[in-house]
Amino acid sequence: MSEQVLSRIQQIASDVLLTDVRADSSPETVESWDSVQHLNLILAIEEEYGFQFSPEEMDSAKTVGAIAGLVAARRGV
Amino acid sequence: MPLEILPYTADRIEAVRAFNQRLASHGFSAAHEQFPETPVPGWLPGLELYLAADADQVHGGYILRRQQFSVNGQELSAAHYRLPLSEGVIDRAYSMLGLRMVRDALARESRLYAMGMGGWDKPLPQMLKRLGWQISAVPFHFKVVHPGPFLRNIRALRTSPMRRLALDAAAFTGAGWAGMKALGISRRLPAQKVELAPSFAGWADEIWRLVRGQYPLLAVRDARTLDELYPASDPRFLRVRTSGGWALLLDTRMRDHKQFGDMRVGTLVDCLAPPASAASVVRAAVSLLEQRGVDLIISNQSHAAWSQVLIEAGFRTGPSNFLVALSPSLAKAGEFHFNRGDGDGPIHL
Repeated sequence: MSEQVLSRIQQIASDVLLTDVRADSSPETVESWDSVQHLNLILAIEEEYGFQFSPEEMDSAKTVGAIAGLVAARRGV
Repeated sequence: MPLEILPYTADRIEAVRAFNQRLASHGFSAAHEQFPETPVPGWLPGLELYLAADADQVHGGYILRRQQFSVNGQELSAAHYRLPLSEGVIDRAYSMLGLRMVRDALARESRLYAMGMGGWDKPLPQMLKRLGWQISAVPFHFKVVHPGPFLRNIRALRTSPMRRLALDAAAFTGAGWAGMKALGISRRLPAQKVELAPSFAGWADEIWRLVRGQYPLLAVRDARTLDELYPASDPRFLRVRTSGGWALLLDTRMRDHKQFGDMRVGTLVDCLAPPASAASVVRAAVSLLEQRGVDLIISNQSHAAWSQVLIEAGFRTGPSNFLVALSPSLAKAGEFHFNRGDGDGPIHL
């Protein structure tokens, strides 16, 4: 996975969740990461990269690193 | 089996029951926080129920109620997106389900709407707004007919012992009546003879044909649809018929209601007429409810013409948490005519 993608996803997640996050940050470890903020995060990433996550991808988007991995796979990097 | 969204089948009833119990154990036990424990709930026509489930557990669900709408005079399919429930409210591992379910529903029907939703601060309207849906509050109008019972029962005003004492005193002495009269809040309309119809069959289609092109967006209200929604077998429904329109009313004696206490509440649930004829329908409806002896008359009406004639008939406008959300493909139609007859219908009145 591209470090650049991970770094950008971490930045978007920090902006949405209003806290610093790491690759292994998840709804279980970040207090502000509730269902509404999860939606905001997913939509912000979709807007940034111009695609829509599939249902299967949404299921596996459970950590910042996993989301970055999905984005990287979509972009082939 | 990965988590999928599937039609609700009878073999999932036990899993739905377990899902409801998990929600209830975290305090989500109200009727609107529990999914039906049957795949064929019978209260409205056109219902389709879907579950978000893996091999042996249910983690969410939603209901589509398919309807026909008139969209700028053209009859098109649409659906009410109702009761989306997700385990995400109690387990963050499922926090993506809300978005997944609404996208699944949009894939089944792009013209969706949602109603009620409990207020602007709830997760569903926040999510739909973020997804580009058009959301607005359906204006709430009320008319006090009997100030005494109103002052003794209205929960929104009776919020402290001091206020309750003052309102009881106003009700007892008649000061409340005089004040409301002075403010025009309790102005009675002249009594008039009102025609009540036993059903919509045989006459409502003519009104529907005349009216449907005069509202950019409204649910089909032909006689067949109306008699399904408000069956003749249910004595609660009062169908007021005028020369150019109709109104569907309820006259309900409340018992310890969370907003209306023990008041007798008349509701203008649904109505239809050309906008220019709305006033005669409202006058007939209000006259009937006043003659029947209700304490308070209420109505939620989205269309400006109906709101205006209610105000002209002595109604006031109160705060409304009754929201309507239109998906982008439905919102582009224009001004809509929605009221308590839409969505779930008058099940909470």
